[in-house]
Amino acid sequence: MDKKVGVSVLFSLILIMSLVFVTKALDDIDTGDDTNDMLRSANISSYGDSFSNDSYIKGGTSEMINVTVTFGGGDANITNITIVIPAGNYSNFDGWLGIDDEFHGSCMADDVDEDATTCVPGE
Amino acid sequence: MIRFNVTATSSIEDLALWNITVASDDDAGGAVGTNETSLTIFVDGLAPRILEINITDGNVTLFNGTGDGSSALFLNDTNIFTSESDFLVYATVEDLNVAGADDVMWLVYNETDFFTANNANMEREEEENFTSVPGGVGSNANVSEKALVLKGKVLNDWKRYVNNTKNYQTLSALVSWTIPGNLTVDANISEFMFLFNDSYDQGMSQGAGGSDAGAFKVTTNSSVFPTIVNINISDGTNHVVDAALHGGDVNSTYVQASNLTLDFDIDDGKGLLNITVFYNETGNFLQNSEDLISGAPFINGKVTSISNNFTQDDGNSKIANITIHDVNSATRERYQVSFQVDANNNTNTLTFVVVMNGTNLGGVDNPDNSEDQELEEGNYSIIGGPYYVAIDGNAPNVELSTPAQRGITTADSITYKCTGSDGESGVAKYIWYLKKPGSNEFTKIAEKSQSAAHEQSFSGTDIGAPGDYDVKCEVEDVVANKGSATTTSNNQFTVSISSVGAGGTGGGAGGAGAAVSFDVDFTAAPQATFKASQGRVKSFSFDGTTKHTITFNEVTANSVTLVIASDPITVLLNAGQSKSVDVNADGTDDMKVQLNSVDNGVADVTVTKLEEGAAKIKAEEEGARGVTETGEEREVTPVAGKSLAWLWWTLIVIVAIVAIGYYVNKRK
Repeated sequence: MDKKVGVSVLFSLILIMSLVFVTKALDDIDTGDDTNDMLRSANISSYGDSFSNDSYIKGGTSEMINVTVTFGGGDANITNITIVIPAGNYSNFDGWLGIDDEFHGSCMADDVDEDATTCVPGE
Repeated sequence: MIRFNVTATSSIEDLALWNITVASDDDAGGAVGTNETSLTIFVDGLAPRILEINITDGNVTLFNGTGDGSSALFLNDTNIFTSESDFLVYATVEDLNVAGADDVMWLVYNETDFFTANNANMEREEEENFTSVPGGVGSNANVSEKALVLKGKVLNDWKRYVNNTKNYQTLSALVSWTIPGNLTVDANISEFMFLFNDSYDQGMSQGAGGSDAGAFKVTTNSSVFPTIVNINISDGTNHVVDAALHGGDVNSTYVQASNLTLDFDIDDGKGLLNITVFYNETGNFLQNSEDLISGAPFINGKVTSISNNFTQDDGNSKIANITIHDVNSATRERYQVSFQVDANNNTNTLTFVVVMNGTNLGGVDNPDNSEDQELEEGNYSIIGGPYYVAIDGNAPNVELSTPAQRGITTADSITYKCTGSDGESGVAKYIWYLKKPGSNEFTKIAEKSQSAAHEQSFSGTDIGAPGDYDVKCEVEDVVANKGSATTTSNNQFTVSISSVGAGGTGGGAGGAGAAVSFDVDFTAAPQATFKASQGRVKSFSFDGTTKHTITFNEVTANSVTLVIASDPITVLLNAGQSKSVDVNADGTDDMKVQLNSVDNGVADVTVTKLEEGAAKIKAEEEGARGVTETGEEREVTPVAGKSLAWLWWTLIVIVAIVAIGYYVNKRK
């Protein structure tokens, strides 16, 4: 085989191997959505008034708050989630949704503890 | 996913921070730890509201609480407006969650007196039907038939700004309403209120207290305060006057960014202490969103404060103080002031207000009227304006074409195209210049008033000298800003003198030699006409062989100087004049030259052969060349010497012998 052809093939192989290496290295970079993070993501929105804006709630009205927590703690387990309601902005906690409510979440009215604000799913 | 119901606090507008904490352990039950984050939801429990308000009749501008020295948001009826103008009302409106066109931002005007209304509990359906005041606002019996509902106009987009006292950003916009001046009646009190509603159907009324407190009201009286009239601003050439300046939109008439002179009349200027012009040459106040927080759309920080004494420059605007003529003048006084606008100003808008501060009106219309007596005692500030003037501080852009053929003769012409553009006042004029060979300065050639691109041709005397020419196109805009483009070595043109013109009657000379052409050959035609510019040379011949020339030495508007050669004879001809010329100076005229006309530097000359002289000169020339009268070449008899043919033959033979000998010798 011509010597020049051999050098070209060798160079190409080195180039391909370099690209594979770089790609592999990039894959290893944390993209910010690490499944090992305990609190992987959290989202909050409000529903219920007739104004279709999930980031706002009209003063003096009752709305359903929807909190979505994505857990990524690997082998760990969630023991509890504490949601602190801004006291000055909300006058009342109106309770968990019932099991019959099609919108109910992990916590339902049947799961409440004595203080009515603590929910233990499954109890 | 966790869902539950909560009730938001009423009557607040805030950003609610939700704290989410997640705790976990590992499979063996050992603690792992906690992690937390904050999430936000806005609570909107307030209707839109007015933060600041002002109102102007184009002469007097009133601000929050004007009249009582209070910061309360009201306008008191001791503030007097003219009944001859529209009232422009500006307000800074704030709300957390507006909904654009769905929002109700109404000014309800009542010409006669205050009234009551409260739409806090008004349903949207009711508001949508609320289009006229009678029967629509409470039960006040004093509602005027002239009352009406005006919808607000958002002058710029709703913008969020940081509220320093709260931890959220609310929306704010500048909203305006126009109360038609024909609804107001002199000496009456005009009251207005506002109705608002946001996208959450939260309604509110402002300025409708049912009493003097908290009401928006002004008195219309066109004769109490000094008024500014006949206002005019000029750059010396362009003027913007009076009505066009009066508030509102930027006028379409431009002035140059230069030293401007503002002059105006003040009627009934009793008690004037000082007059100051505050001007902002960097833009229209209304378009500056940062000014919203300050409230007033055109003063908003540009003038020191909204107190009753505007005398200081706060750094955001420039001032020009005007000397008072007469502090107690009850008659019309003319005032004038000049100020310089930055020549590089390209913001296109100059905004200014005329502020008059005074004390003690020095006389009232009706001393028995308690209201007029109150007016007599106090200080006052009157703000004329704002006035908007369009400034053109930019010279036009100019582009000059490159003709395809830039090497021409003096008989040709060349055309350049100049394209001017001006985004402000517009192109008004094209001026063309040439820099001729040997000159260091441009000479003005032509001027044309037009806005579209312009073409200019150069010919005749403009290009009478050979050499390189540079072209300059100067474009002037409406306010006399000038821009120009000049040719370079890449697009200048070159002129050469052409000795052979087109359209001549030249013919070929006889004989076996090469053909010789002339502009006119008198052997073929007795007469010919030349059209040539200065510097051109024409040729003619009497015998079809011998060349003579006519040089157009100088062409003026109505004369030409010809130099006829071979033996130069200078002939000056005025238009219509003819002269006979003796070319060979033998006492007989040979030809006649006549100047028919001169048009655009091109002389129209007719040459006519004179038979007697022409015949003599022809014979003379032919004799010199050895030609018989019949035109045949005369037989020439050799007079000396022998033919050299023998020599040539001898040389040929010698060469042949040498060649043959060489050949034979070689064969041996």
